[in-house]
Amino acid sequence: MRYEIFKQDAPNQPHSNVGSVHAPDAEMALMHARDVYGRRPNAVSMWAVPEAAIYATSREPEVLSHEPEAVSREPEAVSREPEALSREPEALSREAETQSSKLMAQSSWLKAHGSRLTSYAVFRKTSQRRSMTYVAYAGTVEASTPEAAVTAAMRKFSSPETFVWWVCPEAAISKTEAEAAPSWFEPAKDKVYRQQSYYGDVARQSRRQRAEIAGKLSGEEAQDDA
Amino acid sequence: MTQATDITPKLAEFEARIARGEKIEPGDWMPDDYRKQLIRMISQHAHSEIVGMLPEGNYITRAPSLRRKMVLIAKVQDEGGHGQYLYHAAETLGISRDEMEQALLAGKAKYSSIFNYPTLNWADIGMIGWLVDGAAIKNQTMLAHCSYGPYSRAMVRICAEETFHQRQGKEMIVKYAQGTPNQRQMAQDALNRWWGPVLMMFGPHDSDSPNSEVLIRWGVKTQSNDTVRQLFLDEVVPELMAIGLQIPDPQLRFDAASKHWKHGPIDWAHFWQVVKGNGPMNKERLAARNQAHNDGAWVRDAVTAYASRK
Repeated sequence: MRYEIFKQDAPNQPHSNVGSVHAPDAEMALMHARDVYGRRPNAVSMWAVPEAAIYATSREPEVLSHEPEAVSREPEAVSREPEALSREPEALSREAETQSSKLMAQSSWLKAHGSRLTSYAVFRKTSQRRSMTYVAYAGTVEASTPEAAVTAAMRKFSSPETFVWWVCPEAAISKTEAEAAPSWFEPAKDKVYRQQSYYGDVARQSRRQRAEIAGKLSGEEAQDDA
Repeated sequence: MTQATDITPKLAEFEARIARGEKIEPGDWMPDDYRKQLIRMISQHAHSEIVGMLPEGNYITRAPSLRRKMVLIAKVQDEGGHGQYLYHAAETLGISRDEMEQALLAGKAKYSSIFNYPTLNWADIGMIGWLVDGAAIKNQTMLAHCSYGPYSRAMVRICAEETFHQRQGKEMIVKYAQGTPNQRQMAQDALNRWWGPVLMMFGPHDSDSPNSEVLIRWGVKTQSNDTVRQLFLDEVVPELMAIGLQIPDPQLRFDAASKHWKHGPIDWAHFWQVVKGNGPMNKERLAARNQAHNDGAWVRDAVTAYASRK
């Protein structure tokens, strides 16, 4: 199974999506996540969420709006499902097939976990800046379906620009334990040789070397001119 | 490249988004060719990270000091992690890690040809760090600007981590170049063997790179092969000269008008032979990768059995 991984860099920072891992259960997903995404000392906590528990909406910016009416005018803005299904059958690419089977997996997961009023965790992408993380945790909303959770999230966490929303039932999140966190994440702090700053002399040396050769070259050029 | 001339409203909007500097994210509409090119590039990149563990992993037990051993282990662990970031990024395009892994194990997938050359002694480990990782960082810095969000994010993380790979390698070679005559000779010998293959890492010349134009238009690549190769050359040539190593290219020269270093001809016939599987180590790498995969089968079986019994 695929798990999406969220890493928290410091206690006052939100958990942000760093990528995914494959694991047979959530416990092993977190162990893999530490190895894959926690080799550097900026981690205090990690969350793992089964991919099938996440409802993702990818939104074209021009239909972005905080007004619920705009959302109902443009169903594509809320869910990628209608777009995939409205394509001509021959135009259904492999991606669309993958997406619709993923959506089926998601809806069966959600059915199994009930459609009563549930607490959903909300994650969002609010910037187009270059970054090593994707959606970041915003908070929770109460809703009975993932679609309703997105609508509620848009109202509760409105911000000038939001490009992607992810929601998942809070119960689907597996978290590293606070007591175990030091033994999980602190050893990375001592491995200073993983940091480029440990080789600061090399960088200074490189600048000197390039300047030295450039100096020689401009000297030769001056001679040539003379 | 079929869709380049077929401007549908969706394609026009897609290209406009890229022109505005927005990232394309999983689930967004994208042309099939964009998806195909990205799957090709990202999976090859992922395989390169995984196969790239082999030439250096060989040397972990032979590191000359505990410090060097810890550094090398950390570097090889990073390469494994980087492979996983990239498989993750490719999976968002609708291919599975299993499919990619099977293609690699069956010898159907490509990876960077630089890993099809042998590592003969410890100086090679330094030269790989400095030049091979240095070249990879130049390429990856360019790809960090990629229009596809998951690939860009993987590149930003990889570049941040990989800088130490290049520096630890350079640190080693500088020490050798300032060491005993035998050590200097080892550094020179490593440079002689790695220089040509390293220049080939940036890919064919722009005039022979058929995919480049549309890849640049769609923001997958943001600079051409020759441009990135030039950036690398201008950085490392003076640094190698300053420590007294001879670059094995008699036609290498500084062009005063353009202020760039110009290299002599690259042996592309040899390059294509290695790409086709006839390099010095292609068979060994594939066999080692398959053996590592098969040796790990019991671990995968054990974790699956453990999870199913809970």
